[in-house]
Amino acid sequence: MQVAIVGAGTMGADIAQAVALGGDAIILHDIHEHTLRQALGRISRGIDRGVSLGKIDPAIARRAKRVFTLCTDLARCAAADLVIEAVPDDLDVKQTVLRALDDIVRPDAILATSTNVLSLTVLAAATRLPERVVGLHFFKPAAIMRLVEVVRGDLTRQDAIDGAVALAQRMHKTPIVVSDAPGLIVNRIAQAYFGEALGLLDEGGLDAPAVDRLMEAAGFPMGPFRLLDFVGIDSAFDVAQTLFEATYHTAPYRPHPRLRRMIDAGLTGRKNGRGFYSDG
Amino acid sequence: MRVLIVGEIPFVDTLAGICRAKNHKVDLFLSDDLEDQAVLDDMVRAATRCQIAIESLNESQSGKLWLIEGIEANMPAGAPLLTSALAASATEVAGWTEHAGRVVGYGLLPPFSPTGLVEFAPALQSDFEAVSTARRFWEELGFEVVRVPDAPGLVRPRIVCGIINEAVRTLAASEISIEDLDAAMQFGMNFPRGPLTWADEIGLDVVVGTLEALQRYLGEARYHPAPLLRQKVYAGHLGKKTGRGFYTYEPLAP
Repeated sequence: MQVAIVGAGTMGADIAQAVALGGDAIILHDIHEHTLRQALGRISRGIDRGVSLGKIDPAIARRAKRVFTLCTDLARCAAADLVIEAVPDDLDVKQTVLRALDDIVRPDAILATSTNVLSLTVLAAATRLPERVVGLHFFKPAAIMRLVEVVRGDLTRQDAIDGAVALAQRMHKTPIVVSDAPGLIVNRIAQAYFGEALGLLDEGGLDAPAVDRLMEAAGFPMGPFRLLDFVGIDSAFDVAQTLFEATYHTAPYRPHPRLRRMIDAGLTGRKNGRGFYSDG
Repeated sequence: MRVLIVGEIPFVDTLAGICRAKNHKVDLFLSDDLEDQAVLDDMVRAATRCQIAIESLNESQSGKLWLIEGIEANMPAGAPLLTSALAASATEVAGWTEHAGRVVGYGLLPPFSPTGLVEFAPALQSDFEAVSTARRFWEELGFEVVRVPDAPGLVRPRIVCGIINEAVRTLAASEISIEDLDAAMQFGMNFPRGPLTWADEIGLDVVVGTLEALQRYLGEARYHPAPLLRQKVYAGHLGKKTGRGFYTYEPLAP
C-alpha cells in the first residue's frame, strides 16, 4: 500500500518509522526540506536502535530504510491510498492541510489525522468527503508505544475505519476503535492519574518524588509527576483544558491550577529541562 | 504474636497468609461471616486474647464503624489496632474508639506481598507506643514501611480508585468494550493492569467505599462514584471475590 505522511516533526517521523517497518511504501512530506532530512536521520537511528536491541530483524530494517520518497510538494501525495496528517495540533493548521489533501488524493483514499485533543468530526468537516476521514491517536514515543486509538467521527464510514485498523496492525500496533469524544479513552482516564496526584500535593505532607515512588512501587513505570514531565506539562494541560471546555466546565474535569502556573513560568517538563524535576 | 485479622477478601486472607508465614498465630474472620451470631461471638473472644488486631473493611463507613467498635471494645489494653485507612481516615476511626491512642492506619492495594511496601499512617491521636509497635510489626512481616499523611485512601488506593472511577464513567459513556478499555490503559499509558481488572481485584464495594469517603472528606464532585459502579455493587457483582464484576471468573477451587 502507498502511504503518505504529511508533517515530518517528531510525531510524523515516529509514525513513519512504524509504517516503514510494517512494509508499506511511504511518501514523507514536510514544507521544510531540513525537517525531512532530520526526520530521516531520526527514523534511521530509531530503526538501528531496534536492531541492536534485537527487536527488529536486520533484513526488515534494511528494507524499511528504502521505502521513503521525500517531498515538499503536497501534490505528490496524489498517489497515496492512505494519508496520515501529522502537522501541529491546531484546528486551523490541520483543517487547512486536510482541505488541501481532500482536493489532491483520489476519492477512494483514506484521510487519517493524528490528533491529540481536537475533535475528529470537526476536523473532518473541513473536507468534502468527511466519510473517509478517520483519526489515529498515537502515544509518545509513537515509534514504540503499542496502542493506537482509531477514532470514528460522527460521519466516518466503516471502510475507512477498517483501512486504518489494518494499517495499525501492519505497524505491529494494537488498534482500538473509539468514538469521537473529548480525551477519547486514554487521555480522559489518565487525567484521573494526574488529577489525584496533584490533589495530594495540595493537602501537604507529600512531595512529587514521594508520590512517584509509591506509584512506581505499585507497578506504574513512571509516577504521575515523572510522566507529566515526560509528556509535557503544556500537553497535559491542553488535554485537561479541552476536556473541561468540552464538558461545559463539569467539575471533575477542572484542570489543576498548578499546571497553568508551571506553564506560565516556563516549567513545561523534560523538553526544557524543568518541570516537577529539573535535569542535572 | 497472636494476631486478629478481620475484614474483606482478598485483603485479609492475603494478610493472614503473610502473618502465618512469619509464625504469628492468626485468628482470621471474614466480615461477611460475622452476620452469624456464633461467628461474631468467636471473633469477640479472639479479640480479647489478641496482641495486635488488623481491620480491613472498606465497603462503607457504617460497616467499618460497627466492626471497629466490636473489635476495639474487647481488645486487651495496650494492643494496637491497625485500621485500613480506605473508607475512613485512621483519625476518624480512632475517634470512634474508647482508646484512640492505639489506632494506627495503613494502606495496602491488591495484589500485594511482603516484597512490596505498606503505606503507614498514624492517626492524630496515635500514641508513641502503638506507632512503634505497628511499624515494627509491618517491618518484621517484610514490608517496606512508608509513612504518608492520614486521609481516606492514603496515596495508592486513592489514585487507583480515582482512575477506576473515571474508567467506569468512560466505559458507560462510550461504546468501548471492557477488554479494550483495559488494553488501552495498559498499552497507551503502560499502566500495570487495566483499571477494570484492578477494580475486580480490589472489590467494587471497596472502591465505592473509598470514593465515598473521599467525597465526604474533600467534597469534590469527581469522587462521586460512577453510577455503573454503584449498580454493580447493588447487584452483588463485587469482582473476583464474588465470581463476577466487570469480568466473570471461574469459581475458586474448594
